Amino acid sequence: MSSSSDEEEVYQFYRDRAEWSDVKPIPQDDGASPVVQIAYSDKFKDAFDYFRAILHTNEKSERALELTQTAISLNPANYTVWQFRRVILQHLKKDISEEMNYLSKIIKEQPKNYQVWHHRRALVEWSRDSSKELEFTEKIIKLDQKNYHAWQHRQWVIQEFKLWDNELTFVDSLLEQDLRNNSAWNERYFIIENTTGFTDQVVNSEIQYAISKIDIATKNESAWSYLRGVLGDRSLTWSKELRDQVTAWRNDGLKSPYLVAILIDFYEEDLENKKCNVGETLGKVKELCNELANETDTIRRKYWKYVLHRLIKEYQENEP
Amino acid sequence: METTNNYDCSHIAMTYTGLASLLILGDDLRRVNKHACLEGIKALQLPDGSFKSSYDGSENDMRFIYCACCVCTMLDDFSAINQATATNFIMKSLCHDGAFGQGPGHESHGGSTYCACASLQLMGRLTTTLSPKQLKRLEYWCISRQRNGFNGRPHKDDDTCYSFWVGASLKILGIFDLVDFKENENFVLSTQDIIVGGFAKWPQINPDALHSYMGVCGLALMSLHSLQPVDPTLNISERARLHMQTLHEQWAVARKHKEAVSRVRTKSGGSTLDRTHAGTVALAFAIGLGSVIIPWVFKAYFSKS
Repeated sequence: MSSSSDEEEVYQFYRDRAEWSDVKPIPQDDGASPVVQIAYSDKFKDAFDYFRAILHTNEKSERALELTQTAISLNPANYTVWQFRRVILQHLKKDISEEMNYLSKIIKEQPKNYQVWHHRRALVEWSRDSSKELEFTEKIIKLDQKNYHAWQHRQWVIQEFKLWDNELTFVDSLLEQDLRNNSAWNERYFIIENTTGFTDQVVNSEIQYAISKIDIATKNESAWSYLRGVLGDRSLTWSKELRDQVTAWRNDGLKSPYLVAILIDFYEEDLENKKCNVGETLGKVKELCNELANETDTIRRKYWKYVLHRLIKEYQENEP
Repeated sequence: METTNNYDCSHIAMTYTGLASLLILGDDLRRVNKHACLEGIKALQLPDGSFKSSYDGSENDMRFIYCACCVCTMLDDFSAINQATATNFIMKSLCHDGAFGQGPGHESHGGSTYCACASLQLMGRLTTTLSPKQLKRLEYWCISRQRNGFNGRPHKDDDTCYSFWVGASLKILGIFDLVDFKENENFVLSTQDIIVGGFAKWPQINPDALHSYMGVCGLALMSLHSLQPVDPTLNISERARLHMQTLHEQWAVARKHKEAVSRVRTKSGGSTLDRTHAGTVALAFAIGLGSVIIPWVFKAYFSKS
């Protein structure tokens, strides 16, 4: 005889539970000729047969709530279960913070599931309590720095509840750990866009910021995209400092494909603005495209040949 | 046994895949309640132009705009959706790096970029909405996703499914031929399970249905291994798309005929009910007569007795 402290909780099928004996389970109806049928376990079939039953009678009780918990543990992506759970929670006026504790555990186990994050958003919308959200999303991001759902939820919370204040610091700390964290770079853009905005002054300081990060890692696509991105609709040549820096890097012998790509764009702008000798500039572009195609970015050799051809077609052939 | 419930509603992705499956199977969609289907899609569009997936509520993002555009394309009817607000949402989701996130402010991603490009293409608005400068940046972002195979975001690992999501985006943008086919093919094949077959997201992990499908499509975009060509916008084979086109042509003919009949009605002024009734009677008589005469002729001339 084992003592109660040694006893494991034995799972009981709903069909064997006395307190469920009044409910008639509804089996799944896959029609007369099912195709690619899923081989559900007995446990799964049993739980979902009873879930279909409570859905049918629209039962919003404590036992129904418990049943949704079982269903969720078996298939956390079943959006109907989550939807009905929300209906029951509202009907029973359940404590949202308790639900949040339960949900947080599930999200940690299933951090890439859409339904759990939507449920979290729904709970925060009901309670209007955002106090745990930054901490929680930070925990998930620590486990997976690029978890798209976590970042989406975090952005929503920040925007909805105006929690901008410390986000740049958070982004900086992430970039300290990994300068190539594209999600963090995106977050930086998101914060500035929605706070100070990209005024001329801000653009200049952000260009300096990006340059300082590129100095550390010259082939960091995220930093280069950010550099271009902060300019917005402004031309590349809007920032003299940027052109000077790019030229300096090139003179230092830097062969980062992103540097060369931006150089080509500078030349394209010169051609567009008719601020150069066409033949000479196209010659430089040809040299750069060949360097990319043959040396530094060979997987995109066809692309760089296409870029060269496009520019030649547009400018050389149209030369008077 | 009555088993209905209040939560039995459609899901936009299932509507898309259901219709696509029917087209793939060569069905003529006669049993699809097109009007109901489109009304259902209409009910899912939100004020910001995006779509949720089901009426009871869900997240809303680029995926479901794509599903909506596909459903409208397959049913040859865009009247149910507000294309202007949908386009607006798509453009608001254009990131600082030139590609598309799942929604405004969100990181650009291969999957959402595909959904955005395909949606704009299906609405016939790709080159009218994106400026030449924007198209160039988008091309550059997409082509930059290739390391060997493709990744979905900068500095992430290659993943088989992006050979389709990004590959198809490049196809839509018209520059898929610039991809390094050999490296792409090698990567996709490296994710093939050598024991059970199928493809996985990465080499040496378990294959699954999604990545197997995407792997095949990724290879089909390059016309390799005798695979059927795949339509990059609807994500079905060219064969299935041509079948859809045939249906649309038939529907157009039927519509024109209906319009012509209704014009005749208005012209004649009198009740066409009598006219059609008379016609039906005549037809029934002809069939009845034929069903008597033809067997008699057959018996008389071909019987061996």
